[in-house]
Amino acid sequence: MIDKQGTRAITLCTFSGANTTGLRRSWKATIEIILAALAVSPVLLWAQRSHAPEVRASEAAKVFSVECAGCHGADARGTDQGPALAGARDLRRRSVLWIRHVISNGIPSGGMPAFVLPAGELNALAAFVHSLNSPAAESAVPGDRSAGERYFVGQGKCSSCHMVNGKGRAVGPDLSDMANRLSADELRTSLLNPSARITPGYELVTVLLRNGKTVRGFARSRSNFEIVVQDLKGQFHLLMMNEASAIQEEKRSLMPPTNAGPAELQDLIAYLSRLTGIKPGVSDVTSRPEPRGVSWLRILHPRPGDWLTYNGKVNGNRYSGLTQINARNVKQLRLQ
Amino acid sequence: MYVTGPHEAFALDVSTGQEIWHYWRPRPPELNVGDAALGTNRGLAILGDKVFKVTQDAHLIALNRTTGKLVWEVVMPPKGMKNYGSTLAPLIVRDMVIAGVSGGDWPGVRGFVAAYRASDGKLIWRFDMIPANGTLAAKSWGGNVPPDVGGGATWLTGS
Repeated sequence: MIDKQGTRAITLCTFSGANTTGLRRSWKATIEIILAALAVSPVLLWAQRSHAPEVRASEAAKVFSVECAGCHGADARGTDQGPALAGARDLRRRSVLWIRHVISNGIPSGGMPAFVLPAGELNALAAFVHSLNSPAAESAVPGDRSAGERYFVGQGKCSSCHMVNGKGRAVGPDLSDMANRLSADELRTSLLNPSARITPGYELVTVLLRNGKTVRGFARSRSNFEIVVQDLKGQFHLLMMNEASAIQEEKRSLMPPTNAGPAELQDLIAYLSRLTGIKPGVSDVTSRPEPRGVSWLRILHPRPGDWLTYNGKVNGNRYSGLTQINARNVKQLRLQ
Repeated sequence: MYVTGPHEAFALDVSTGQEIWHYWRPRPPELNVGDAALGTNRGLAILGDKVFKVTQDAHLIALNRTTGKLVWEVVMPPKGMKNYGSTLAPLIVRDMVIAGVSGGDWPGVRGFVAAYRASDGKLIWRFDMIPANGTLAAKSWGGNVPPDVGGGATWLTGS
């Protein structure tokens, strides 16, 4: 309660509105009430947001299996009675409101009946159907995110090939902003059947060279003249097409299908659904000595031909020690 | 080899120019027309499994050398300071990435050099070319550094 002297013992019940109408108050007190109310309301809003969608999503999945799976399939991939709702690109551009309208009104000409459901269930179901196609970051995905993260770095061994937010090994694609690109449903498919969709630049090839050697790895880049293969140790090999006798395309992904139980899988999907990329700020990758790659010592003492820093060497004199072209033969240089 | 632009970086094969990866980010809207940082980027630095470059709006970013994806990103100018750009190729010294800013022609851009830890982007030190009010060096300005003073931009890689 705020009295005329302006002492500030503010209690929640003063914000209910009704109590304060009889009071004469200064402008200052009014502003204090507004500011304090604003401070409280985000907390309430956050509480609503963080709990309701998580609970609703698993309820919604149950409603779906009861009301919708009969025609649209238990996996929402469609049956001869109804079209696919998961992986349906047309649905991706539809809003939750549009989907809600279709559920509650039906499409009489198309054979979809109207479903009369309580408002809460209807909203949750519409959000669930929307989530089958929208990027995972925009959907409420049920599951325990922290358990999913523990599985990712632990038992699942996902970090041994994937980097997330600077942690892990860069063998396969970086997953830091995965949730912005794939829907929750596509994440599930990628985990259970990795060969279904292989990220460009990560197709497995084996190149047989004319000299008898073979190089197996990811075809990071190719043209009519050459192919750049990143072998499974991370080394890049440039192979000219005229050195290669055959290129075998393995149509399978190097990633094995995820061997997780249903609950673990859901937790993992929940974790992946919150990977929205790296935000500015110090990362939580703990400091450690730099792994293999270019080291400071090598920058300080470069091998002939190395140009590992902007000015060539740390002394900044931009001098190259290469001697194929030298003071004696430079006048023989010609355009070819 | 690595080639950069103000908001992108390429990894190319040295013999053929074949692109291995391409990192891209959208241009930030706030820079002034005619700012050098809009069109210039002088290259990147390499240490370990990461490469480092600055962006037009004076962010320092680290990319993984193999995948070309972002590993960490820090905003170099102190909070709320505008008109800063950056063009230089960062310099590696031991386990630190040292970078500076450009835009000394614009008001309020007090140039500085800053060193960040290469593994995670933590700021290790920053040296202001034009001191902030209240610091010891501000005495050389008569104790009062005008808020719109600009200069001392550090847009060339040191040695």
